[in-house]
Amino acid sequence: MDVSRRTMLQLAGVALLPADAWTTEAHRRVNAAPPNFLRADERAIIAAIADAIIPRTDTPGALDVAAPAFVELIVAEWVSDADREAFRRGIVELDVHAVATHGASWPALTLEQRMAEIAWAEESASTPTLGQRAFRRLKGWTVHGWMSSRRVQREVLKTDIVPGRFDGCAPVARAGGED
Amino acid sequence: MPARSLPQLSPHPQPQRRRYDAIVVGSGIAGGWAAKELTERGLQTLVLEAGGPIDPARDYVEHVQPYDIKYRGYGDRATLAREQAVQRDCYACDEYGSKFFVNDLENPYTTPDDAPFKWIRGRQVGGRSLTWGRQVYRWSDLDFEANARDGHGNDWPIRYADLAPWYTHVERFIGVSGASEGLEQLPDGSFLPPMQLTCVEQQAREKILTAFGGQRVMTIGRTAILTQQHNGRAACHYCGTCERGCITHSYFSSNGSTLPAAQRTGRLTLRPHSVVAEVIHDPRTGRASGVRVIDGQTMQEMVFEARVIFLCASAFESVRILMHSKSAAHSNGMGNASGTLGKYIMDHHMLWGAGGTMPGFEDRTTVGDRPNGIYVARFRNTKSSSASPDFVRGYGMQGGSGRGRWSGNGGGAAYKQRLLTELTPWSIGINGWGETLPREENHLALDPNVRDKWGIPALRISCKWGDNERAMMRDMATSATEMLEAAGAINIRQNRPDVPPGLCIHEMGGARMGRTGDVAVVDASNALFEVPNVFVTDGACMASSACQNPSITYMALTARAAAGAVDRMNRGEL
Repeated sequence: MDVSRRTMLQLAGVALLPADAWTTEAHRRVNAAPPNFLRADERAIIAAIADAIIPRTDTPGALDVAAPAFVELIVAEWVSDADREAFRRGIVELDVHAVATHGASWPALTLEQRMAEIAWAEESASTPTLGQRAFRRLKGWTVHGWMSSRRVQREVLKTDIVPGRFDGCAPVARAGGED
Repeated sequence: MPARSLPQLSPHPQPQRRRYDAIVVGSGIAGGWAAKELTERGLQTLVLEAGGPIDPARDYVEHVQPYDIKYRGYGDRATLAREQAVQRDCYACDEYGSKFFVNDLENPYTTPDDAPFKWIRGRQVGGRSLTWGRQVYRWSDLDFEANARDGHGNDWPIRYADLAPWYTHVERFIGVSGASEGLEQLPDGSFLPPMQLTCVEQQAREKILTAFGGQRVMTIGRTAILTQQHNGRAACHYCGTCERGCITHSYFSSNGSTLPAAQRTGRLTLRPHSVVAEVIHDPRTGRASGVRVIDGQTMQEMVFEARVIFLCASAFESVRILMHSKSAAHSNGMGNASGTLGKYIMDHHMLWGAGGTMPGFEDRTTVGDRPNGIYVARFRNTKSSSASPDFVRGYGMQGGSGRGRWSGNGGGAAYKQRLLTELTPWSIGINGWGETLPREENHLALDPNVRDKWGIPALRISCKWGDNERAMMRDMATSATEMLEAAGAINIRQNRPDVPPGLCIHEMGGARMGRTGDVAVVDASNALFEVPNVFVTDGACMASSACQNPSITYMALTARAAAGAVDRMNRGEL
């Protein structure tokens, strides 16, 4: 938050509380122990795939922001029973496909093999397999878990929670960064 | 200039007084206005709110981020399904704001099996003024004369000239940003500076004006959000999620505007957790003497008395209270001599339209989150357009434009880089919000078998779209497509969703206003024909729906009715 915005908000009579102060209850829930729901082998496959989709570069990757733990929460508590069962079977199928194609389980694939498996999983098919469907759900949850994380929002995207203005025709280069 | 801080709203859990000059049932958009106008005109006023108090510092969550909450915005699906199976169909009843919506287990209602109705409710101080869509459009005589013109419903006893000064009164207090367009069917108001159109909206506006000979006007939404400091409230800071609350009170809510104004008079008593069961009829005077209240927490019953009573509990709740207010003189519900109480209910039908991609402006995007969209003023069956062969009345269209983050196939470092930096092309969409005809068969009744947590009979809501609405929906999709084509959009797809009544959250009618007591429930001053010290000023009084978002009309009617009530009290008539 830059000085002008801070001043604007003080003029508006807003107490500059840290965002956390408004969300104590939410934080207690967020900070509760993550669910211990999946088997170790499922967890390893999911982590390997999440890492392949969004690796660490000069910015945090999916594993750096615990995206797989968010995936596990969603699988444990959010999806329907039927979808959960299909997803878990699909994850196993993805690994079976990796072994059949490359002779190695997902966590042991090389980078090139991982990209090949992603390409297979995202092939357009009129009747996608359980594995392909599970991959698409896993990818959606992984991207959301990563993109919505505190580190990506605050350190990478530097999302402005209180922009203080609306510009309907701004140059792209200036959007989303520091103002 | 620093804004002055707003006074804290201090609820009185056990008011000492039992007798007031005025009682207002409900603290939402209508109730807040009744409280402000009545207290400012000198009346000791008790506001009874069925739900609990709201503390902005604790309860407003507009700056809470996805990483602050457990499901990152996906929602606590199991709890929502169990406790808010109806409310969760409203976009704002999500992981952030579900606390601003009722618990459906405590607040049941029924519908016929073949006629779903989504009744979206907020019981708390401020009611749905916390979560409303904030779009405000004046009615015109095209609307007030509609029933008389085509014979659907009963004639309004008032016209635009009766309400125009009250629209202005309301706009000056709440602050409305918008652009004047000089349209007869959508009168301009007292506007703060408009929010910006995006590049593609500006282009669309110009091309649509040209293509349709000036008949179709796309303008920036008129919204009760401040674009500059106004009456001690700060301008919008464009965080974008108004429906979760606003710590700067930059959009209009009872909590940030009318209730503090009432509080400043020293004549407001606000009692949360006060479920009004009925209005009490005094057979000696023929007037209402007060209301019977059930404490929402303790279930204790109590009576409060007053000279005038304003029902502002939300359209269907106010009707429910009248239906439950049975006495020897009103065995069929209070004010129901005409037999129209509960009938001619309406909601706007919505969301048929179209969306598409707008080529160009690739080097441009938006900064800030504009909590407002675009509006296409009604262009069917107006004075300057030819009559539609397929339907009477008309619709406005609401929409917006923007760019999103890229998503696509792949993985790895290159994919990640695109996620972080690449934007989709511009998209643009417009969808209709249409007038619904007042029809007798769309009605409310007390369900003989179901009661709420406080023992009050639940409503049975019977409401369906009719042929006129369905014909209008089809035209919305067609005309939206024509306009987007004219605007230069490509990849246009039509929206033709099956939206049940209720979900627009513009429920209206049930205690309609009319010229005589044999056809209507309230008169031109919003008083019951049969019980002249009971006023119904929320959406229940609506004799037709027009197509505009209705809240500002409730505010104007409420302010006008409050002034009229005090005048009559001062003349000794009440």
